[in-house]
This record gives sequence, C-alpha cells and structure tokens, in this order.
Amino acid sequence: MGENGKRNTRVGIYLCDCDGKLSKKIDFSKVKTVIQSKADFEYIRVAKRLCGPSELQELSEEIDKYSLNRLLIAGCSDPMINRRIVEVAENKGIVRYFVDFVDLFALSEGKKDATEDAIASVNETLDLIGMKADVKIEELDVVPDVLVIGCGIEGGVAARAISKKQPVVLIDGGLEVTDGLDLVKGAKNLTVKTNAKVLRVSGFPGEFLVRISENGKVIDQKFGAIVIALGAQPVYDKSKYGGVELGGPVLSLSQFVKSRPECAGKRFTFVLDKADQDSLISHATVLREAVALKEQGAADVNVFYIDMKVTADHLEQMYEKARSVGINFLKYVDDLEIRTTSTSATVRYREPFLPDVGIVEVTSDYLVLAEDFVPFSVTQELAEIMELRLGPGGFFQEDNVHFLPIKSNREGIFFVGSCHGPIHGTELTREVEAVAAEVGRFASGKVRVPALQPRVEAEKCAVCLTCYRSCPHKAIEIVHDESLNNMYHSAARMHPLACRRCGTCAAECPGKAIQLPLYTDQEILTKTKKPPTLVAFACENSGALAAELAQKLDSQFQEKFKLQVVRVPCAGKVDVIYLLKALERGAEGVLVFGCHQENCKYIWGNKRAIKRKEQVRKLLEDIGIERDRLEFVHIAANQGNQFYDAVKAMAEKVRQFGTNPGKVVR
Amino acid sequence: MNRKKVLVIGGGTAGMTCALDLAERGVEVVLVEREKEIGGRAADYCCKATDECNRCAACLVLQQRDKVLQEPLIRVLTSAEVKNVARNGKGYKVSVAQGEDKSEYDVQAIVVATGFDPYDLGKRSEFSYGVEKNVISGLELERAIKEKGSLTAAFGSGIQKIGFIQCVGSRDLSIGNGYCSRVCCMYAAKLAKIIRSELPDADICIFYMDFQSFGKGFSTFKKELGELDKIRFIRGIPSKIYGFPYDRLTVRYTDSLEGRQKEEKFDLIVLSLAITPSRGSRELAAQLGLQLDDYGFFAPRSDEETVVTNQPGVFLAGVCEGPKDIPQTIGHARAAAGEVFNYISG
Amino acid sequence: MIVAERKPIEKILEMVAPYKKILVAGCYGCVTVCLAGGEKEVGILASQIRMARSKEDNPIEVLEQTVERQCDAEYLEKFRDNIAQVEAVVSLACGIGIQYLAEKYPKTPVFPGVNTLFLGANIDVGKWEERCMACGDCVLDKTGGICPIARCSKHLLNGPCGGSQYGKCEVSKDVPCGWQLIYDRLKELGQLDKLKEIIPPKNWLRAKGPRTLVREDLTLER
Repeated sequence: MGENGKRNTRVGIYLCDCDGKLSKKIDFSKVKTVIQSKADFEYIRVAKRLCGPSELQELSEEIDKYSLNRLLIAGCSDPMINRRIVEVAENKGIVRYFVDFVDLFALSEGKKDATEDAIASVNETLDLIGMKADVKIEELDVVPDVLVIGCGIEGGVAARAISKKQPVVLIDGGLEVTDGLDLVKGAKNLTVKTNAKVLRVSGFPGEFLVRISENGKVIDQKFGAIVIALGAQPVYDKSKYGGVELGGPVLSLSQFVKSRPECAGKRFTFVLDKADQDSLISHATVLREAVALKEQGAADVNVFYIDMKVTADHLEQMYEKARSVGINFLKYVDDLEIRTTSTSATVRYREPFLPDVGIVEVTSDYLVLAEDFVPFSVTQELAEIMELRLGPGGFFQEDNVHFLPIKSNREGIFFVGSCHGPIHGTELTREVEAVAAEVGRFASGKVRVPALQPRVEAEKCAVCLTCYRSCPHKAIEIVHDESLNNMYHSAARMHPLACRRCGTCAAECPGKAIQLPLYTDQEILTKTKKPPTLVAFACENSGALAAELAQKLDSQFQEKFKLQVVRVPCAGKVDVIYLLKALERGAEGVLVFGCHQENCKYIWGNKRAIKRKEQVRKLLEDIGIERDRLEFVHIAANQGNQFYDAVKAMAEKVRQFGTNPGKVVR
Repeated sequence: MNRKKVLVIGGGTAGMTCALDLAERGVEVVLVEREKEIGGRAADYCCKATDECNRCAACLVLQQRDKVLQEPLIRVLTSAEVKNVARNGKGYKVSVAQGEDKSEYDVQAIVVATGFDPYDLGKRSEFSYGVEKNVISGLELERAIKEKGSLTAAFGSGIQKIGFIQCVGSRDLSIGNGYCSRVCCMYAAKLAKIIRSELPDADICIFYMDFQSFGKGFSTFKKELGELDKIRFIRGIPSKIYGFPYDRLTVRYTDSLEGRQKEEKFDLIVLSLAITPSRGSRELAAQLGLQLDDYGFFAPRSDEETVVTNQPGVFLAGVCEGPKDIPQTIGHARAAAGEVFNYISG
Repeated sequence: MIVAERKPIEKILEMVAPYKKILVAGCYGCVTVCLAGGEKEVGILASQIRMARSKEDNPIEVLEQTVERQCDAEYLEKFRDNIAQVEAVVSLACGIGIQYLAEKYPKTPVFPGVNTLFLGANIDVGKWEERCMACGDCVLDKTGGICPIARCSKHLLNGPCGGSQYGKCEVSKDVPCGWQLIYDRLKELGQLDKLKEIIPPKNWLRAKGPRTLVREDLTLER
C-alpha cells in the first residue's frame, strides 16, 4: 500500500510564523534548509500568517501551480484556523485526511530554541504522510427502493412517509396485522405484499438482496435500505391481576379499544401500571378513551394508577382535561383485589391519601385492564435472518445509547416504533421522520462516501473468517477473484457503506492483512516509536476527549506524567502488538482507555480490548514482568478527572515497580 | 465547488447533529452559537455510569463537538447572533454579528436549534434558590460533578443527605407550564444512582409527583433504585426550604401518602428545573415569522411533521420544539437535516 | 485444518537460550487460521522473547518473517536470506512445517514454537474441535458422517463402550458420546441398519514407516 501511495504523493509544506510569534523560538530559515536537504516533498515555504485571506488565496493558487495533493502545515493548532485551511484544500480536491498539522506552539512551549524540535516533528509528520493510504471520495450506485416490514399502523406511517421520496415495498412480515394498510391507500411509489415473509438477506446497504416469499411464491428483490416496523403485541397477563380472567365485564385494553361497549349510563374502571410499565402507550390510550367515555355519557369513569405518565406531547393537557370532566383518578400503592360477577367488577384497594377511610371498593359495569407489550414471535427469526441484535425483553436493538433512536447494528437497516420497545404515537412520528431522513440518503440512487473502510492485503489474507466473525456490523464479505494474489484467490473485503470503521477487524486479523486507513499499524507504531514513561491508547469517543478535559484541568499534565496519548477510533482497534511494542520500546506503563460497559459505539470493541489486555498481561507475567504495567480503564468523554486520576495512579504504580525490565535497549 | 449553504442557529446537541449530518451530505453549514463555545447545555453534563453505562447519552454530545470542530464544511461562529434575516428567492440572506464584526451569508435554508433554558425561579423564594449555596439546580449538579469528578470533590465531605425536588416549574398550571419536561425524572434517578455509588451511606431522597420512567427496562431501573440502592421516593413536592440550622437546609413538605406535613434536614437540595423555551425565542420567532406553541416552544407545521414550520425553508431541530432527551434530540435533528436536504436539493 | 497452539514461553526461551540472533518464522496457512502462528503471533512471540532476554540482561536480536506455507519448498526458499543471518529459527508452523523447514536448512537449528494438536474445525473465533485423526481408512459412510475414531474417546469402531450417560462420554461430562451422535444421526437418516455391519479392526501397523502419498497420474516428470 505504501509503495503506490508514495509515488503519487506531492506534499506542500507550509511553515507559518503566526505573525512573528513563532520566529522568536524557531529559526524558520534553518528549518526550511534542513528539510529541503533531505525530505521528499514538492514545495516548501515560510508563511507570515497563513490563515489571513491573502495567504489562503495564495495557498489555493499554489495547490494548483505545484499540483499538490498533500499538505503539511506547521504553525498553530487552533481548530478554527486549521478548519479554514482544510476548507481551501478541500475546494482544491485535497481531502481533509491529507492535510496534516504540526503544532509549533506546543512543541516550543517552555523552550528557548525549538528549531531542532520543529525539524524533527516536521520530518516525522512527513514520514507519516508517506504512510497514509490513499483515500478517495467514491460515488457509489445505490438502489433507492426501501423495504418496510410490518403492515400495522407503525409500518403504514413509516411506508407512507418514505414513499414520498423513494419507492417502497411494504410487507406484513408474515403477521396478520394489517391495520396500517388504510394509511397507504393511494400512495404512489408503494407496493403492498401481504402474507409475505423475508427468507434471506444478503448484500450490503445500498444493495441488499432480499428473498421474499409472497403467498408461497419466492422472489428476489434489491433494496437500498430496510426498515423494520413490526410493532409490538399486546398480551394480557392475568398473573398481574391476581388471576382475573378476561370475559364478561372484564376487558383487556386492546379489546376495549377494538369494540367499545355501549357507554351511556354505564360505569367504567381502568387499571394502569400493573402491566406495561416501560411505556406510555396504555396511559395515553386510557386518557383518550376515558375522556371519550365521559363525553359520550358514561355515568362514572375511574382510573387506577401508580404514576400518571405524561412524558409525551399533549398528555399533560389531556390529563388536565380528564380531571376537569370528572374522571376519578385513584392512586394505589398496595395490591388491588379484583372480584367479578357476571355483570360487574369490583376493585378493592387501600386509599393511600385518606388513611382514616382505609379500604375502599369501586364497582363498575366494565373493568378494563392494561396489557403488556411484547415483541411478535417473528422477531427472533427475523433477527437471525438479518443478523440483527436483540435487546432487553427480546425487542430489536442493542441496549446502547449510540443506537437510539432508530439504528441497528447494521448500516442500512433501521427500526421504527414498538418493535424496538413499546413507544407512544408522538415518539413514533419523530422516529418516522428520522428514519425517512436516513433512508432518504439513497433516494437519488447515488451516494458519495470517503473510502475509509479497512483495506485487505490479499497476499496476507488466509481467508480465516476471523474478521468476518468479529465484525459487529456485518460489513465484511469474502470475495473470490482470480486477481487476488493468494493461494485461495479470495480475500475479505469491507463494504464502504456497511463499515463503521471501528478497526476491530484489523486488530483481530492473525495475518496482519487488514489495515484501517489513517490508523494503519505502521502509522500507530511510528507514532509510538519512542514512547515516554506512559502511553495511553485512547478511544476517540471517550478516552481521547477525556484526555483533552484533563489537559484543561492541568495544562502540564502530559508533561508531568510523561504521557503520550495515542488516538484510536475504538479501543477495539488496539492491537496486542501495540501494547507489547510500547513496553518493549521502553514505556514503563501502558493504559487503554475505552468506553463504559454497554456504551461501546461499536458494540464490543471495549470487550475485545479487555480480552487483549488480559492476554498481554499473561504474556508479561510469563516472562516475569509486572502484569499491572498494563491497565484498561472504562471512561466517558466527559470524565476528565477520572482520566487524570487513572494516569496518576499508573504513574504511581510504575514508580513503585521501578524501571521496566523488559525495555529493549538498542 | 458550488455547495449549498445552510444556517443553523444554536450550537448545542441539535444544532451540532444537524450541522454534521448536512456536512456529511456535502452541504456547507454556518453554525451560529450565542455562547463562547459550542456544545450547548448537554456539554456540561456528567457521566452517569456506575459499573456500566446508565444510558444518559451525555457523552454523545462531546463526541459530536469534537467532530464539528474537525469538519471543514461547518463554519462555527461563536459569541455570535443572527441580526437580520431577509427572504432571498427560495432561501434567505442573513447577517450575523460577532461582537463588532458583521458578516452576511446567502443560505438556502435555516434550522432553528436554540434548545432551552432552565426554568427561571426569578422572584420565587420558597426554595431559597440563589440564597442558600447548597440549593442548586440539576444542571449545576451535572456541571459540578463533570468538572470536579465527584460530588464530594465538588461540595465537600459534609454532604450526607441529598434531596432531589422534581417538577420545579413543570406540570405547574399556576405559572402556565402545563407540560412535563420529560427528562428530569430519569436524570435525577441516574444522578441519585451515581451519588449512591460514591456515597454508600448517604440518605438520598427524590420528591416527586408522578415518577416518569419510560423506555426499555426503566421500570426495573426505578425498582432497583428503591430496593437495591435505597433511594427514598417521597410523593409530594416541598412547599418551603430554608437555611437552618447553621449550614444545613430544612425542607418542609407534605407526604401525600401519609397525609402529614413534615420537616427534614438536608445538606444538599437539587431542583429539577423545568425545560423552558430559551430566552430570545419570541424575538427569533418574530424575526423568522414562526409560530410558538402555548408554552413558547417553536410550533411545527403539524403533529405529523415536527421539523417543518409554516415558513418555507425554516426548520426546527431539538428541544426548541419541545422537551426531549439527548437521543430524541439527536433523532429529531437528523430528521431536520434530512428535510433540509430535500428542501435545498428540490 | 491443522490446529496448533503456542508453546509456553519458558520452553521457547530455553530452546533459544544459547543464541544472540534468531528468526521467528510464521506461516500464513493453518496456523494463521487457528491464530497460533501467523504474522501477528510472530510479532507477539518476537516481542516477548526480546523483552524476556532484555530482562535477563542478555539481549537477543529477533527477526520476523512469515511465508505462505512452510509445507512447500518454494515458499521456504523465501527464508534463505534471513536464515543466513541467524543462529537458530523458531518456527510457528505446524509439526509438518517445522520439520520441512529444518530439512531445507540443515545447518541451522530449527525449534518448534507451537504444539500441533489435531485436525479440526473452526467452530467460532477462538474455538476449535477435533474431527479427524487421519487414520487413512475412512469409515464415515458407515457411521452417519461422524468419525468414531476421532469422536469416541476410546476410538471404538463398533458401538459405544457402555459408559455413556445422557449422551455424554464417561471420560468427561462436557464431551458428547461419539457413538450417541452416530446413533442419532443414523436414526435421522433412517439408516440404523448400518449399525449391524461390523467394521473390521484397522491396521495401525506402520510397516512402511511414515505415510506418503504419490499420485502417479499427477506427478510431474522433469
């Protein structure tokens, strides 16, 4: 990979004096002369103030004039300013990954003359630029069609919204629920298939190949994206109501909604919070139904509840209204006792607000009991077919904030509505809007993405399936092609639209055949060539950001603890080799910072990192080196103090251990 | 390259999400933030993980800020304010002031992502907020724990009895706030949980009206909070807090389940202040010709399209449209970005 | 596939104790697939050896190289330059590769870095199971596709020993009884009558020494 990249690399080096601030400590003409004498680049100049409009214009012209395709800017590290330079570069077709910055302020801090440091740092960055894999912005053809699974209300709403922008096929997923079909009547761009099940899904986002059986007939069709909107199933659980059976005066809430009995002059009682404790669906339904009953002349409407849930649009107003029209809201604390006759039902409870009154009985003509919402039985099967992960209660979706509200573990496959946990109508609206926006990316039939997915060197790929099996996003396929230069003529390939670029595969690969652009082994091992006392490999979703906060707490802290922070896309990218090499090259202690449990953006990157930590600890122990020189720390982006403390603790620990005996002196 | 340009007003969770999503689709964004730094309120929240993530999502916000600052297609203007907005064909001509500097932009669409302000207790003195230093808001507790690392580091080791008071300014018709702020019960519960893991022997209470737990497994979460973490739930909102004795706080409340008035002493009181429309919403609505709802949040065109407004080319993202938690805000902002993209490419 | 596992480091350190410069030789074949001797494992072992020797104040230089397969002479040729520079080689190939490498470079000591375990299937990442013992006389047609030699702890050819309980082997309750598996599979295939056929004892005698395979129809006359 390096070979090819190098030959076409034309680097422009800009040494910015930041309005004379830097030349006090750095002899720019010397830096320029030394770099010129040995390095491999196209153009170099010293700038007075590169971020000024005239110099930016000049930079823009020079990119053309010298056909530059890489930039190295040595100057300040202000992200706002760097962004402007990147903007100029991108306008000239140099993608952002090929603009590198050297922070001259940082390296000259506390020094009288930082000329040599500047030279070393520019040289090192030049080396790294030479190692970068070429990243092109690719334009990919995608299928705009979307498959929506679920013909209930939720599926109907989703299909209708999506079909405004792109073709939709709506299938019932083998369920008999079809009450959403009214919603899509007359919708253009929309095909309905009932008694239709997904049998197989292969391919990747933008071009999933889906095998569907419709009334027993099997068809294959391509879809760019898939939306699962199966809904959830209300189930009456009598054990929650002291064994009371449905029938006669006792109805479940869904039975009641489906066929509301004649209400004039009748008494009704609803019971909430025995079932359906994780959603607002029953609360919202009961509020709506209770008000309607009262308005239609019911004699008496009672609602038993523990906590009145109102966390959705208009629910508090509805609750106000319900109270104002005279619905009795009865809070209960202890268990309810329900007794029924053929024509009435009585709820006995202890009135918590009126201790003197004690036990109260409420008798009504109809008793309506809330139900639990559970996933449809096809959920498990569909999850297996589509390689999707389930969460609590057997609902779709990983129980992890990174996936909320609509993401699945696979790109191009989304969840809407109660199939990933019972949700209320107003939340559904927002989920549908979000999912329509996501699948809308494919509406034009083309997408542009930077080709940042890992590359596989076929010569080293043993097609062992380790990457394929350890990819949390199912983004890897094994391709066969005579041009692939190994004995199998096969190799793993990461799909640009399916890959989320965590780098777990690269760290798992036993043949070191996989390299993640911008984080190749070569780049990371070069960065850690001369480790200071401590090295921290920090996930950029947590540790790296916490390190920045720690730096704000104490701007000297990295110097104080002689710490190098190495940014990685995920703790799952941290290879066993990086850990060993850091110690072999003389680090006294190594830390890996990953996200908290159940918070890894890539599902199990943090778990893989912990396993590797254990593996390396064992390897160290076996050769008599203190295992505790290596530590894994769970952290979040906002935990600067915790980052600081973890580093301090490691510094203290290695001080007690004394010099790392495994350090290899060369 | 001739790129489309969009103005996003507000650099918090919604504004950043929307800007990133648009940039990913190749759209240039001018992101205007009133404060000195982008990130918004949630950038000050603390992590609520104990031995595992408790799903508060605060970390997502800092991840986004990091991405925004690296994204060349997003021009971030901080300490900035939108001065003038004039229709210009399908889009708008806007001028943005940053102190003395003024700059003009031709944009194809505008996204309002102005977030919220916590309820202003103003002259209401019953909770001694602003008088007693240990009566603080939930946001202040979040920031203190984030910055200092723990409750003890922030407030000293004398804190052994902590009370959370819910619905301060929410669900309160006497001040016209007939809505639930949605997020407070869960964040109070999660804060209580991390305080419990730090201080195993502290007495922690939550004063509430109706506990609003929703989401997968959250009823179990609440149950565990009571049974395992020994958090006391007291149904009833206190009527009075005053500094007594010495540096402690006396809380007077009626436990509605016991029907008795009680007084208890606390070391720290945390008020869950309502989510209210951010200051300047009314002016911004007038400037853009937008409608506000009964409570002063920006009103969408309909209940079915919550990111679209009555003004073509102006969209809503996040809490400015009504209370939302962080994942809901992110979802809403992505939806807004999708609609904006459709609008400007149509 | 051949399944192997890395030898304990102390054994390897013992082997290379007299030397100052060695090569760790990996193989992109089976041992890469079973995560024991690919390029990554080569790096791990090399690093571990350097650190261990550094700790003993007895530094060692360790070269690293991995080739496609150590069981083919052409690929072994790639090691020539590196082997010329070193005093000894630790091979992470299977027992075959180690021996073949030693054979090709007779002047350099070659040591095993792995223990070759069995012929097995890769069940999942990090999990392997034995399926074949290369007996040279396959009876899978008679046993429902399940090998009694590999899967029965006692290699019995004609039915179970009688010690199995609830489908598990008496050797360990974690091991399924091979003959139970055979019975279940034949029942599912409707071929239980195959059990009545007596499989004659195998001839394990190695009168001719190590087995070889020569296909006259394929051999290349040069």
